Amino acid sequence: MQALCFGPLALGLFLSMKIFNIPDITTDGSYTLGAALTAVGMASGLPIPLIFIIATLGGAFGGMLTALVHTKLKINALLAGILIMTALYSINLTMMGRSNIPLLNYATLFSQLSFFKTMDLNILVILVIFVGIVLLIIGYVLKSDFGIAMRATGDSETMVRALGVNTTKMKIFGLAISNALVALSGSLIAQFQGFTDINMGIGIVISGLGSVIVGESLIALFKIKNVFFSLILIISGAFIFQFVLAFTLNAGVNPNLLKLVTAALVLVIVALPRLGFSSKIKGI
Amino acid sequence: MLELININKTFNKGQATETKALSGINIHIQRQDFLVIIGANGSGKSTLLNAVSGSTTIDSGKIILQEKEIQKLAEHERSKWIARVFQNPLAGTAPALSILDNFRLAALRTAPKMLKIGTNDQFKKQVQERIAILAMGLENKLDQPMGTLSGGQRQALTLVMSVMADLKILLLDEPTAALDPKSARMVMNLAQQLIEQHHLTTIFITHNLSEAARYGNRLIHLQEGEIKKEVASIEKLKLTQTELLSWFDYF
Repeated sequence: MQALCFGPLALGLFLSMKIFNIPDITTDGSYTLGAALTAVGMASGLPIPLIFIIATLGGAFGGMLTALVHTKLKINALLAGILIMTALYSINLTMMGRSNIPLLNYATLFSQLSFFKTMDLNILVILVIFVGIVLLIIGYVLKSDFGIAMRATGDSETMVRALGVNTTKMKIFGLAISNALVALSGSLIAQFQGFTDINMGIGIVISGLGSVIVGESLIALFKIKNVFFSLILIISGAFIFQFVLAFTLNAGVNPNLLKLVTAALVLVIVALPRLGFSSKIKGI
Repeated sequence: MLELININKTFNKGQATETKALSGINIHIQRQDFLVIIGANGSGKSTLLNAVSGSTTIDSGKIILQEKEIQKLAEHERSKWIARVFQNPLAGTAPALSILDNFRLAALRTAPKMLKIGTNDQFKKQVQERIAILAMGLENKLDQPMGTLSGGQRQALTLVMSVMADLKILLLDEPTAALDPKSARMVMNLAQQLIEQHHLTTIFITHNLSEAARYGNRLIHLQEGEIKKEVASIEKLKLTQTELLSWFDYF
């Protein structure tokens, strides 16, 4: 279920990878931003749908800032992301007022809607519907003419510019959408786990990246060309990644080592194909 | 139709590596001209083409396309009138996208890209018909990623893509330089065919002398950023490769 909350995060990173060819580090900041906006919104009694909209817009704003720094000031995309992420940390902390806000006493998406008596089943169904809707929207956008231009921007910038696409604008829109999805993920997680913590976003870009890489391997494996199926596989990537993490923790790894395990896992996923490939070449 | 008036461009101004790429270039191109520009490496021919397309800004001078000054417009704004085939077959297409998606983008070169699905059956059929003239059997593989095709195939598709939307000027930036002789011949013949069919105005830069002799109705020889020699229509037809070779003091 936590993996489903990470679904939008994985989709967001998938987009930023498509547009920039590098993962967008702003993710760490906009993820917490989504959660922080959710906490503050709930504490001031705003309705849940409005909270989702605010969280999403907040993330989009963060993404736009990174894209503006990158395109207008010509600063390296990685550095631009780190800059905005660092700035967002202070903004999040100021908004929250303290480093941790418990949300257990407030109504969340999961407590407001109830289709089933069993709580777990209820959460699961809500998440599936929610992520499904997000998936349909993003799938449609990617399939549209606008989406084709966006996907091509990361692929062949010279061609895209020659075909009348303002690549600066594309990057701004793309990173806005990407970080909006990330913030949505942060909002979902905050409601799911019942608290917002200022440090919850640290290293989250790596989790998302791991999910995307697993998802992309699946896409390559099944030779998927359909956009919707690709997105489903990206979310399955998030699922597999969280599952493997949970498995290692269950196997008795100290929870303090979680980030280390995550990093090691992504390293293994990234390195495996290369090692396998080079040994094959040696074999020939 | 397209006028280049006193174009100047210097790279790394004021530094030790200062190079004058273009100095005082004046060219007047008529409708349906097929202008060939030859020159050695560093003669400024690529810079000239980039100046027209907008990927390089010029220091001074005017570029007038159909009575409109365009030298200040960004590349993506000029693409309404100008289509381009690059030297690098990889630059003209997006490798991860399908053939169909590539064509969709090309068809929208002159139009805004909206939030609607444009790759419908009707569009698919249109692309299939266009690709069928290549006789490469690609018309049934529209979902295949562009990256799986050969350089020659990609250059040929880029040419077909360029005429998917209305265009005033076709820029050919050494389109065959990275291809084997057979593919190069195929791509140039296709270009010729499309240019005649659609009555296009073309600027073709090359350092291949046999191509320069065979194609086009006008020829300009660039050297160190200046026009060294210019040959127009009737004389151009009589020009042979050997004569062209004598322009360059290679020996």
